[in-house]
Amino acid sequence: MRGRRILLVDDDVDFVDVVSHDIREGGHEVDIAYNGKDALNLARNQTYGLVLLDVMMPELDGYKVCEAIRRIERNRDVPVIMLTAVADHVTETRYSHRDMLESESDDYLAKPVSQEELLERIEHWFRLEEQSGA
Amino acid sequence: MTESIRILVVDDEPVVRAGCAQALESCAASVQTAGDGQRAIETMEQADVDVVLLDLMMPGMDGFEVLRWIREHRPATQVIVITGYATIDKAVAAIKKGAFDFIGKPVTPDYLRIVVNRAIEKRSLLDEASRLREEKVQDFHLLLEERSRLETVIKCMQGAVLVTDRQGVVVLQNPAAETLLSLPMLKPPGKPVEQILRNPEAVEMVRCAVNHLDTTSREFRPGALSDYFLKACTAPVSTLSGKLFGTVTVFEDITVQKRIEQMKSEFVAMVSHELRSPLASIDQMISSIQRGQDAERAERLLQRIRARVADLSSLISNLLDLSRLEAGTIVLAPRQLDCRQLVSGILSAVSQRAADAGISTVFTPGPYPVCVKADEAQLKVAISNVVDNAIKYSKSGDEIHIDVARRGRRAVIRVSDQGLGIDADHLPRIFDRFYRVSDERTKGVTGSGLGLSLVKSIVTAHGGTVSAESTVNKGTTIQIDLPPAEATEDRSPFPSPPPSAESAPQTAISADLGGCDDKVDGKGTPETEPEEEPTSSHEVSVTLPEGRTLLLRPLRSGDENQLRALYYRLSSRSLYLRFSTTVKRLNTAQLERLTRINAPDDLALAVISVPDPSDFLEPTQAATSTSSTSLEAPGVESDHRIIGVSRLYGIPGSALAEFSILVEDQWQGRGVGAVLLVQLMKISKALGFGRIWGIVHPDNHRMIRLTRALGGQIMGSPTDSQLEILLDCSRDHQHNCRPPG
Repeated sequence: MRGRRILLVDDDVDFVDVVSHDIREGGHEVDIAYNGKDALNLARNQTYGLVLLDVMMPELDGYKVCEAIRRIERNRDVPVIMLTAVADHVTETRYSHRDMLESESDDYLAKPVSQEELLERIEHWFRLEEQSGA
Repeated sequence: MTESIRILVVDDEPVVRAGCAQALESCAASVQTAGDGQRAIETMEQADVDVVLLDLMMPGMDGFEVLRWIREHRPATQVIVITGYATIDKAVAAIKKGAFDFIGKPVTPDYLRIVVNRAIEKRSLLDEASRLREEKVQDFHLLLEERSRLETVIKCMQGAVLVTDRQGVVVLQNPAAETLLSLPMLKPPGKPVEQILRNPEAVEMVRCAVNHLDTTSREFRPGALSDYFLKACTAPVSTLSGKLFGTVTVFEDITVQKRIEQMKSEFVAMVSHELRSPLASIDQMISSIQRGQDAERAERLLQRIRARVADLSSLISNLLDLSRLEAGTIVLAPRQLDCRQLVSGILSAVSQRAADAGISTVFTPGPYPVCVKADEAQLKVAISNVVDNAIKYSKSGDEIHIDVARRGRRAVIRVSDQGLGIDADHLPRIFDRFYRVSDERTKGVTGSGLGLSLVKSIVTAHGGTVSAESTVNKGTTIQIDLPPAEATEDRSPFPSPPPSAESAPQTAISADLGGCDDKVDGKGTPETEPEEEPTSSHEVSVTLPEGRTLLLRPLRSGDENQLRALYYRLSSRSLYLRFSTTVKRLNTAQLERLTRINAPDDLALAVISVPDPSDFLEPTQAATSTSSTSLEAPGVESDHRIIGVSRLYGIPGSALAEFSILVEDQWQGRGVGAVLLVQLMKISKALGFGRIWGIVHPDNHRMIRLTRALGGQIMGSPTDSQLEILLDCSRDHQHNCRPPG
């Protein structure tokens, strides 16, 4: 039975500060990692209900972290939502919205994200998980 | 046409000859006659004729014989045979043997003329044909030349060229085609393009040209047509009348361009992200405050907003600087500056900020000026960025140490902090654009991510290097290395040294004097502060142990490029001096020129002069000197004769100088060179040079032995035209003036 712990991975301290605060206000528990390596360390020891993952980070980019998390057995099916500051029309890069939809992640959110939308999306995925009996 | 026609009438009957001649007068320029075959041949041997009227039945040499002769020797000459009544068959036989026509006796003048004119026509046509054939051969050669030129051009083209005929069969490909398209060598008759180009789109281009006379252009990714990224263009080739002749396709390797485009768009993507992320975070924080936070948290968020705004601002500045630097639109205006002052200025500007953060700065400038030639504004940006970084990664109570000093010839600026430090994994990448370390320790530190990469760009543009050392949690040191300031511009120009004198290449080196206005007298002792340089003064006087004073002057300005090239080749740590010990035959006039110490092109500084040369040289047959000119040089007694001179162009105390040793004609091979060499080594040592390196001719056994005796090294093989020798002149060489035996 999956818990409702959320893993937030992003290198921007201010974003993490506000968003983790917002999530906690919403009644969920949050673990924080500022880079991919730390994220994987956490993912090895904890089964998460959801992962919020910044797409563009130095060193290990979001897609690779996503794939790596999926290779950890206990988090193989965790829903992963990518976070991006990149606008939709920048399609030549690897970080367009389309790229994200086609990756191994399940969803994406564009920064900045209001607390409402954030919590709504989290709840949505938790509901889905419940329904599928995971 | 009649102007040039010559006719010969051969018949044994005089009446016939006369009759024909008269009848043919109007047809030709000349009509000759001959009474028999022999005479006919003789006539023709003298001069060519165009038409021959030949009687077949003649006594003596018969007509057939003459005909045969004509066919053999004058094939262009047309023969009309004259026959009798009952000899038609002979006439036919003659025609078979090469006669043009026949005419029967009695000969009617009109008919004769008709036949002859026809023969003349034939002759003209033959001439014309021959002329045309020659022209054709010439044209053909021209064409071949043209073609060969064209082929050469096509062969040498970098792009691949594929030529097809109008059916699309490949008839020509150049060597580049074999490489770029991995095609095997083309063998005639050639294959259709479908079999050569394995990509249907490429084939389509050719077909388009063939069928619709369309010119098309396409790009092919690696793998589509070959391993390269290619741009192809196919065009039809038509004849002047508009008919299709074939097609030409040219393929260009655009891999590099594509890579550059890709890098550019990656950069744009990164910049886009780097600009949006802080904005997104600022927005996020504002929303949070608006929703309502307690005062403390709100205040903290506002401060963070301010910090992010500042970072964004500095990112934009750095980005603009970087892009301008790379586009070359920043014109560097280098001038002499003292790094100590520059750094001092920067530190005052940041002192408040550092103090607020509880960080103290410790500045230790060296006692000597540290001069570089640099663009002041740019260098300020570079050093400021380094200092800013140090402050950002330090915590309250930490110290930042800044040193500015000279190391050897270079200016070195070091900024050391006691802050977070950088992990060895990240260290190699810190100068990369937008690279930031993001973990628990560094999470609070934000910045543009471009600061250090801008430092690197600026320092590199000035010919310097930047490097970093770090230990996690202990601190980081960033070091900027800059090349030394070049000489000032206001030196008097010096003409070049005499060209005939040395075999050593004229790598005349400009003395790197001038710089930052300090006057230092370069007294040549090894204890002289190695970082000190004689500056500004054009002349340096050095006093040798013997009491002789040397005057060194810098050489011509404009040699900076050669100097730089030489510096580049030689490590600044090892002190190599180049000199030539090849002794050249000089005449007195040349020697005289060289010893003129006051000559501005020269730095002659050692003169060997003897009252009686045989005194200390090997006892050899004393040659009587033919030159009676007495050369004068300061310090040389008037009754002494100068027999050799050594020269130096160099920079006292520094790495490079060039030497030559010259010995007067008659005194070669007597050990004079050796004496000069030893003296030269003393001089070099006095001037603070380390080792000297020079060239010697393999036959100069004396010099080679001496080198070995002095502990030097010889490099090269016996078959080389010159050998290299390496001598350490920093040691004390006890060597008397007697050359080695």
